[in-house]
Amino acid sequence: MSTPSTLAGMTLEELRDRYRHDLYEEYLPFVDRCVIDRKYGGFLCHAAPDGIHVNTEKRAWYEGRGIWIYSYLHNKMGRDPGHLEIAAKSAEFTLRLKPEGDAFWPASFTRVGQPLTEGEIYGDLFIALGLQELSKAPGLEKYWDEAKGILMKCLRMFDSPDYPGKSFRPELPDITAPRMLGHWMIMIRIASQMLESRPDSELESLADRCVDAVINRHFNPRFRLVNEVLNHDFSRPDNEYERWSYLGHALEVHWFILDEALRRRDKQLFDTVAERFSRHLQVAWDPVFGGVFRSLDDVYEYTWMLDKILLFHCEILIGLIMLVEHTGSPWALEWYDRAYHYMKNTFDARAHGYNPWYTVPDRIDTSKMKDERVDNYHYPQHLMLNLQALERMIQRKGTS
Amino acid sequence: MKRRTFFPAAAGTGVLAAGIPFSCKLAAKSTSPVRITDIEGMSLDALHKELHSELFDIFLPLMDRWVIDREYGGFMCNARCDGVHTNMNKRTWYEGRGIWVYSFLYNTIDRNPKHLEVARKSVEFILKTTPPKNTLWGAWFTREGKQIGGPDTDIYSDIFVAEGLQEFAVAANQMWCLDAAKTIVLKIMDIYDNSPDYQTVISGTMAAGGAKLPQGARILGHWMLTFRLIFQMLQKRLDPQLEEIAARCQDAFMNKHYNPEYGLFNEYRNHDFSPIQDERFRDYCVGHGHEGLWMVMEKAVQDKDKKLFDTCAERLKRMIEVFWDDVYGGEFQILTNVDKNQWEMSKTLWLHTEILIGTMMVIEHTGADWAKFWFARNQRYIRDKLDLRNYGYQGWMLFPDRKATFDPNYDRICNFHKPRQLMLNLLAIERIQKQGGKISGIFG
Repeated sequence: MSTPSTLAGMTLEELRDRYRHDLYEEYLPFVDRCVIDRKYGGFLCHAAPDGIHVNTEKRAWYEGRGIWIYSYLHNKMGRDPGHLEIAAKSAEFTLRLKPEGDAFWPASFTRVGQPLTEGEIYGDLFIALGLQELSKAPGLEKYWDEAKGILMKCLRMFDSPDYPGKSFRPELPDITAPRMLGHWMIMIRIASQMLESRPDSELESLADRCVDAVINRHFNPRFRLVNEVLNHDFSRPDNEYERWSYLGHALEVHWFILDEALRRRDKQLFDTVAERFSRHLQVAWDPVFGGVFRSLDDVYEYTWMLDKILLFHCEILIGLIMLVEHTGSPWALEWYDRAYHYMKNTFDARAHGYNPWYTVPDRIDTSKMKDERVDNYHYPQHLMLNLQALERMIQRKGTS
Repeated sequence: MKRRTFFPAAAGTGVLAAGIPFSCKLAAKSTSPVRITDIEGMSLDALHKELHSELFDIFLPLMDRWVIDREYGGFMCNARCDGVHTNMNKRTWYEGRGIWVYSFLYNTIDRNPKHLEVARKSVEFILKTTPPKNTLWGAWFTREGKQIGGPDTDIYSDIFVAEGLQEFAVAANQMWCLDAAKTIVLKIMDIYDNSPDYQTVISGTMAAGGAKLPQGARILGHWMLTFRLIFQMLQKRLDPQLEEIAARCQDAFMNKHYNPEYGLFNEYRNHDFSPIQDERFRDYCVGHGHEGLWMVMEKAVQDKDKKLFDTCAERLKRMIEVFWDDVYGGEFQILTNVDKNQWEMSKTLWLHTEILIGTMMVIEHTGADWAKFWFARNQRYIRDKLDLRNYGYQGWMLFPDRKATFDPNYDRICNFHKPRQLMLNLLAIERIQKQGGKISGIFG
């Protein structure tokens, strides 16, 4: 099947140029000006769309993610030493806060690095994600072991029967040491990218576990969607958790596994995950106003979280362009068009006189929202990965 | 080998490679100028055979065996799938609908005098129950024809009687029935427009919660059924007075109840058509939108009004897409609150059959791929989920739960939506076949 010549109503070249502009002319200069802390290292993400800071706190999540973005920019998109310097300064800043033993990084800290709040697993996982990408830069290989150490620590803690994980829906019952889709999601992404650079049996084993957890354990055959939360032994809770599908994570993790399938050259896995990605996207799509809902709170009662979030639209655009690139599917083409234009029409704060994109508008009217965070991960990741995909498709000139 | 160029085999072989993969809700939007030979892989011949068999081998024998009252006339629809009646009562709705079905069958598909006789006996039964002037028809009667309870609370009973009568008028060459139907139309419009205490029945969770519509509320279902009733009457005899009412109905349906903010039809509006403030009713949307659209399309075909037809087709597509249950399949019946994305969980046979009528009309007159896709999907849903043959019985589930769970104790047999769909679809297929598979060309 041939690669399409147009996407989202543009030629591939036009779309590529738009992505380039959005990344290099708009997003990166804005972040350079308003988010990057040149003095202490790291990222000051608590800013409004006009760039004014709400506070100067830093978060483990945003440091790890920022390290990944700037390392990836350096390693795979031009080798600009300025990008590497930003990533490395954040890594140095972040590692000064490294906890002893099996404990998590503080969730937030002051601009100069004084811990503020207790952490949880995602902060550590994002730091591992960033460090593993940083380790691919010449001379910084030491960070690979650092990343692996953090990742394996997180896995140990996740596997522990007293793991203090909680779902992010406080109204739901307590659950002991839950299995969380979101955890497997970040772990597979880290493992998959680490295995790009060198083989490692422990990481292979972890990647297998993650794939199995998502494809077989969290997938609920009763309604063909993945559950966010399972019991520690992978049994399905006999309560509200069994009816909950956090579709945003589902969409994100399915493209992560598409990418893992490409790494493994496993077509069967690719096809299975492609079908599930499509299933979750169709269920998540708001048929009235467009866009994806992030959470089907109760599959049976059909109750939803009604907000729309930039990040999941970025994630579905990555998944869709993977399907376009590797299958040429008309379905994926049509959905890419739909999702791209929805995102542009709904989240683009430039229409309101600002530079970045809104991260959390409401379901219908974007302009009423107060946004106090600049996304330094999902949006630029989407720009980078889709720009690369477009460049590959243009280079191949018509073959998938 | 670079990982990014690894999948040469994906081209043309993967599940995504086949044009419209998976359950593509927002599927193909192109129209096809080519001949209509099949619908999503099912040939027109095979489809005709299947629908014909459902009508003559399932529906009519089912009616003969358990529903038609040969002794007193009329239809006893309250029976379970095993034929056991839970009561022998007759509902005015079902009499009017049954008269229409058997008269239309006789007029258009099978001129078997037995069909006319079934209609005639029901006409005789129901006319004995004619209410006093300016009052609504009784809702329920005993098998023998004694009224149970008072008059119906809304105009639907009268509408269905009138619909049956006007079709019977032609079947039996009894044109006074057309006059009787007109008398009913004028009566119900007067009540709907002018009766200060007129109040339609509301169903579902709102009814359970004791909600009541504002006085004089306008109701999409009323316009829709009155429009279709008059449209059929005007086929039989020109009548400027009825034309005027039909035009009002069409305008109310297409313009006053349509909400352009989200592209769906509101079931309820205030008497002056302004939005109802009570949020339980304000953004309440029912499958009547799907149903009424094919009725207006029918008018557009008659008038060769392409713009109107295209508007209806576009809105029909939108309605079908929005109401589809992506988790379990099938169409939801009611979107109770658009802004909160709240739905009634039940599924219904009737809505799926109305979609089959509407999409078949779009296929016949445009050949649109989207209409073929949705026709096939709804046809398959009925066959896979609602058809009682799956459980060893004949007939269809009418109002199952969201997952279409089989309930052997459910006690109603459909005598209207399904046979109407079968007949209208059969006639459409025959017209397409007569044209050699070409789209109708009615719009030039």
